[in-house]
Amino acid sequence: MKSCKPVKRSFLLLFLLLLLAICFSLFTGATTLSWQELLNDLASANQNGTAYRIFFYSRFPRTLAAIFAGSALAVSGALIQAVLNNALASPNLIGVNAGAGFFALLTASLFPALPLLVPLAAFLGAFATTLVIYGVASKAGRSRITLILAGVAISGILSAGMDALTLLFPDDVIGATGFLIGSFSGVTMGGLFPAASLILVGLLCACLMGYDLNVLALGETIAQSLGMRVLPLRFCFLALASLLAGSAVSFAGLLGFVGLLVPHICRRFFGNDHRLLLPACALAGATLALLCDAFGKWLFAPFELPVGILLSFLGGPFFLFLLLQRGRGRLHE
Amino acid sequence: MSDPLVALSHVEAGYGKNTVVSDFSLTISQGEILTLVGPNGCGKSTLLKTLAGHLPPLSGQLSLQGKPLSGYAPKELAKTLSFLPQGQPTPDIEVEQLVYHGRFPYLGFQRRLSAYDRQKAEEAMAFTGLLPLRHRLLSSLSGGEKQKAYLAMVIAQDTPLLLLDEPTTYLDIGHQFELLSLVQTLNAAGKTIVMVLHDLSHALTYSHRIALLQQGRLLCCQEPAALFASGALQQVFGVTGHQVCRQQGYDYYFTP
Repeated sequence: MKSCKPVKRSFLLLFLLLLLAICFSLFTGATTLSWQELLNDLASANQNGTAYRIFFYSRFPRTLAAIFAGSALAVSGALIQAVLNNALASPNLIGVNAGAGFFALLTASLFPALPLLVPLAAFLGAFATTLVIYGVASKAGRSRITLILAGVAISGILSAGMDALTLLFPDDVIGATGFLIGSFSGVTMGGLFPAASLILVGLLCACLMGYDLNVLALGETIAQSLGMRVLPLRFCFLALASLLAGSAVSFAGLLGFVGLLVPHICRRFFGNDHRLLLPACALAGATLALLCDAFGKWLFAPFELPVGILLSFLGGPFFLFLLLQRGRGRLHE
Repeated sequence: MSDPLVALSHVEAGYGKNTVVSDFSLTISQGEILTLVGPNGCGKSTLLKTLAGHLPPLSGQLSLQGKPLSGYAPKELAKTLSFLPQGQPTPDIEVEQLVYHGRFPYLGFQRRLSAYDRQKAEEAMAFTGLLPLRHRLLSSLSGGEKQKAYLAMVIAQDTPLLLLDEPTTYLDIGHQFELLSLVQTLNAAGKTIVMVLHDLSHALTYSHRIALLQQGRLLCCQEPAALFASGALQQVFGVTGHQVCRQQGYDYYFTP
């Protein structure tokens, strides 16, 4: 465990950064929104005021969506990397997001009157894909690249499935383009609530189980000889990672690279102790998603760049950087 | 050396349908150092994994402290025996943290180390001479230091039985002697040790009894001097053994 003082300082800095990102996100957008107008509307209880409506029906749900999706995907990535012992793994690269996305779209197409089913379907889709990937990893050996390639293949199949769904059910999957890229626009409090509840439960469980993840990182044999029930625990962590990724995908779409970028950055500051790393990933993931979304709104205002595009611009080069590091033997094998 | 701590009766061990060890019967007494030797692929590591509860026996009875091994819950088993496999990973953690992990079987739901847990980990680090390295990352240690760190973790686990799979592999000769002398000191403190060694000289010098395996079967289990005198080692490995008499006993070496 890293010594207390720098860790506390890093957490404090991260928290301040998150607060700044929240303010930036709340007050950035196609329409200018000032504190004064908002306070006036609040003071006069004017729920029909423009500032009030923009804030509570657009900015606030969107900011919450970014916080929940960012933290969920980052923690999901950290869990997947630890359980699969693969530093290159993340929910989007190994096809977990695609699994969640396909099942979310399928449910939205087949049961358009039951929107509450979508987060559940996304979780089941993510979990099923994770198990397939885990099975492939167990059968095809421990090569990190094999796992990523298997993820690419499965993502390809599921993406084709999503494209087919958007063609077959064009009326039921309105906004599919935003979903496929990853975006927080159009998120409502009602739509966010079920997924956010699942994410809160998932984050809490993951953070409470950090120590077990540390022991699991010693390898299956040693963890077992220390009295750990390795297989059920691994299953449990993969289910948690799927719950987090699936819930995030159900309202934010196929956001890429948060689960890859954030755990790597956090490890540099918080080390490999998952009791610190997982809460740090939650804070940093939320901050990154908020900042990217806010920049997407600000860069070409009044036009918006979906957050997924900005994340891919950041994440793609970072993945290449990791591959180069791996080639030089710096990424732990 | 009296009460049997481990009893194996006609044990078959292996992976799925692939039987590696057949009809293996042996008792291991409390307080002894038993070393498993045999040519590559004869089933030493498979047997050790079976003893550790990582592989269920395909048939036969295996009991620990008079109770079938299958009757132990994972944490209860981890408080009774510790297992150091070969080829440990090198996670990016400090030595101290690794040694603390040895206390995992004793931790409650909150996974908080008690003062007693910390004391046990301190003792293990002091015993292995790792206190000066306690804040070093595992990845920055030499092979010998890393092996000692894992041994300290196993010592912190504080079990009456220790299973060590080739603990001296990849170590230079100095570290090999250091590690084996730590094993001897542990044994003097009352621990029962079962280990796999490839170096016959080490096995003959540091064991109370040696179990010789060939093609998955127990050929014999004897005290070192008697085993050497029987010529079984020489026959199985196809080597010539030499015994040098010293004041404190015998030294052994082997030539082609």
